Amino acid sequence: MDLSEKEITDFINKFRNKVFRTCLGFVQNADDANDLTQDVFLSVFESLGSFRNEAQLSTWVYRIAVNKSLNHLRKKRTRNIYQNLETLFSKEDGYETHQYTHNPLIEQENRQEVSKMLKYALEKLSENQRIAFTLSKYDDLTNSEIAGIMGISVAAVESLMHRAKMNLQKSLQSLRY
Amino acid sequence: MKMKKSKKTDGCTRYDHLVWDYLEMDPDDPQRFEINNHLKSCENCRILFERTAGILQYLDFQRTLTPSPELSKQILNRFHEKKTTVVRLIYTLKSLAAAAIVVFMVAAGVFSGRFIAGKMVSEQTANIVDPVSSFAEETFFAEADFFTPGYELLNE
Repeated sequence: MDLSEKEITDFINKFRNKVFRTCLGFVQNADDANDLTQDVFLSVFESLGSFRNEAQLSTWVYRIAVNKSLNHLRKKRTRNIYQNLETLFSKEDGYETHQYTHNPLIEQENRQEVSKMLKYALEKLSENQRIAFTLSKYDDLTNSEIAGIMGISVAAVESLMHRAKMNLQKSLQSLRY
Repeated sequence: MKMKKSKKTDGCTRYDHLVWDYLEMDPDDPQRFEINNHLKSCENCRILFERTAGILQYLDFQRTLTPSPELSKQILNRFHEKKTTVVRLIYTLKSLAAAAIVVFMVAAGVFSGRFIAGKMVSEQTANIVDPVSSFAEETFFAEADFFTPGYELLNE
């Protein structure tokens, strides 16, 4: 499908913040989210010809954003496994480097600490719980919109959200302080 | 990662599922007063509520983040770059295909030329009369005539 420069720019401007926030919710890093957003739009433009109007355009874009983000996380996880193994074999105290050190009281301005805490808690969620939580909290989507993107029922999304919140709480409680 | 299990009391479990709601509750909500009272006496729950509040505040902060202002430009550049690469790739493939066809045609021409030439040579060879064998044949018959027993009698 051939798109003019204006059409492309309009499309990007319409979805840029949504896509960026979705990616940010998954990767928890603005630079990575920016790169991922670019990848998402490139994929969208490449496959725009195959888009069937069965779903809303925004739903389709969200799906691509979620898939790209999950792929990014999977690749990163694999890289981390190798890096951790290297650290484990190269350093005696390799395991200690991955410890979470936390301040007793969360200070509002201490975003880095909270960011680490959130990242840790999000990693403990299952893939579906994470998708539901991210789309709800980062994109302010309704349960029915999330259900459309994930291809599941609204009740299933509600259940995922509840379990996600409970698991996040568990992770927050289990952190050393 | 080292963890420490927080000790939970029976009272705490009652408030566990209210953490997220509490943070979005109306300040005058009676349930909020109840939770506040519990938090005053329970450090575990207080820490959990504070952490969750921290997370929600951080989420609010993250929602204010926007992509790079250069995003559209970056995407357009990558889009054109990719398109150019695809066009180049197609052009290269076309050139390679054309070259392959030319090579094939030349090879086919050479092969068929040699084949036809070879066939013509063999046909010509087949048509040439071998002077040695014909001479031998003639001589054989001549000699045969001479040595055949009873030949003179027959001729008489």
